[in-house]
Amino acid sequence: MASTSTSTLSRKLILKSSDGEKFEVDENVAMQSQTIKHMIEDLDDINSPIPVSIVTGTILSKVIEYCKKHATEDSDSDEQLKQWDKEYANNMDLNTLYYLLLAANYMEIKGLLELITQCVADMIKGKSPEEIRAHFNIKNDFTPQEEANIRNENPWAFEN
Amino acid sequence: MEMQQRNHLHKPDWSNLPTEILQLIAQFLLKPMNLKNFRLVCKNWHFSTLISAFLPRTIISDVPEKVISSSILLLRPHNSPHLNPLIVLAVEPIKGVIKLFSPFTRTLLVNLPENLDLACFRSTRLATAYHVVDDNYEPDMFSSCPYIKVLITWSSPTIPSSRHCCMLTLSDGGKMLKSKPFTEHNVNGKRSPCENADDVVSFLVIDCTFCGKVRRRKRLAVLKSSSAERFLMIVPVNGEGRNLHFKVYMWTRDTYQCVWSEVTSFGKADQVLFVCRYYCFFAAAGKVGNELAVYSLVGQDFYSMPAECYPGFPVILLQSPPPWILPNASSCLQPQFQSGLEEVKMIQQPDSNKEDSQVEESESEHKDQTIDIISTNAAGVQTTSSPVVNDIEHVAEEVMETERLGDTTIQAHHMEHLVQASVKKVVTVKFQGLDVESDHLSV
Repeated sequence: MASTSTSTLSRKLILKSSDGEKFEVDENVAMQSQTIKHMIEDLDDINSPIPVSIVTGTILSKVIEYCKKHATEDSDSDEQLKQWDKEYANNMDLNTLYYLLLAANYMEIKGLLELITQCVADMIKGKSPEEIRAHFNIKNDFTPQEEANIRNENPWAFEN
Repeated sequence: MEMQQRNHLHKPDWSNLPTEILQLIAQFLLKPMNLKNFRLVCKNWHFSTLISAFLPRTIISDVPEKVISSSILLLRPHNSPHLNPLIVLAVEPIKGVIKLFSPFTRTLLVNLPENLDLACFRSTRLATAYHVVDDNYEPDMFSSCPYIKVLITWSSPTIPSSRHCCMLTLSDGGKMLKSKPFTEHNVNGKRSPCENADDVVSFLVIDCTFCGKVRRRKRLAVLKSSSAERFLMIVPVNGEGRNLHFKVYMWTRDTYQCVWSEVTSFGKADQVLFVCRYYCFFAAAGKVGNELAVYSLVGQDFYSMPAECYPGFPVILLQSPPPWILPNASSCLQPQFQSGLEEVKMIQQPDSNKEDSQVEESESEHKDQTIDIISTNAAGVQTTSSPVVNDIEHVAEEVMETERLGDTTIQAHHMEHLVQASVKKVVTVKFQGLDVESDHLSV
């Protein structure tokens, strides 16, 4: 009884991915996305599907998984939530991380964005430029001279 | 649907991540080495860490513009922290070339040795500004350059992120506008908060694009406490004699209306406001009581505040560089981390040499107005100083008893505080660490 009464309090929204997949989610889950929050404010009819135009269904389901976990505040301690976050991020392959990053940025979900950027930063740490390029499949577009110049750049501006 | 299909199939391209994501990643890298490697990966990643990436995208100008940074630094010799610090305005007009100016007059410090290596000194950054200047900018003309527009970081983060940027503009009539530098408002030109601005400040990145008109400038300052930020407007008014006074108004938010009301206290007892031509920043300065404490570092352009008016201020003696910055002295002051008292005695010996070099310097001063200071990795300066904290302090205390520091020197207990603050906070993000005598200008 208690659970039905809380779910009636929270309205349902339908999110539609770029490839047409629809997801029904509680409003408080979807509202973690600032973008969706703003969209809802502008919508007259919240029963129509809300398009999340650059996010595919596969990625959107993962985003929703994160938002659901973080929408239920009371169940887990901070420690447990951190652990969950860690496992969540570690289970993603590199391509998924990339699209999640774009999705979190587009949907403006601060927690998810920070989680994924931290995860990417951890991959970069301790690697040489060559190793980073190999890891992320990035082409070196510097000329040798440009690269040498940047190596000599004074990091003064970045020093605190 | 076509577009959706394309997105679905589109392959990950890590090099082309949006700038704001790259900035966020870079912020998590923490160590300078990681950051350096990050910048070397590809052009787009490199670009994301440049200051110019934070500029509003709608700079319209007839002349090509570039961004240079300038900082007010407090320099001290590595292992003789009791010696007088040198306060300088350091500008980096070209990557890797640092020029030092007097923060009072913004004239080039000419009587400094060539190839001065900033890594030989411990530096504490008090404030940083970013200037948008046209490409023909002559660094030596810093004092008269009319083209300078200012971006100021309020609490210099390793890499400021546009996410945390906020632009405050103080425009004619005391109107204050607050906006994100990259919002559509700016891009579409719906409103341009920079027009006719007197001064612009924000807590992280600040944009000011006034055009150098000579007029009495109002400045914005942000007083931060753990709970709130308060915006202050600093207005210079003529006082008696040569004294320049400032009136301070506090901004009270009232939805979209702002009300300025004059205040007679900063509310925090230990805060002194430093007013420079382009900078305005707070620093902890011991107990100064409840009255407004303002130090002006304003140059002599349109109104001046002679340094003599602030007898307690450590900068007073730094109109000319202290002897320790000269080559002979500084060679002895190279980091010697096993240093004991012997080292310090060595420093005191070459007095005659020091004088010689001073004479030489002043002779060559007029011949060569542009002395490039080859900068090295200044990041190393602060990180290496931490293991010797105790040694330094011991040495400093010992020497303090035996050496007469002269009447221009700051009192020992003040210096101690100054040294401690900067040594303990190896990474100085806040504007702490400057300790001054409580001689304030009441308004």
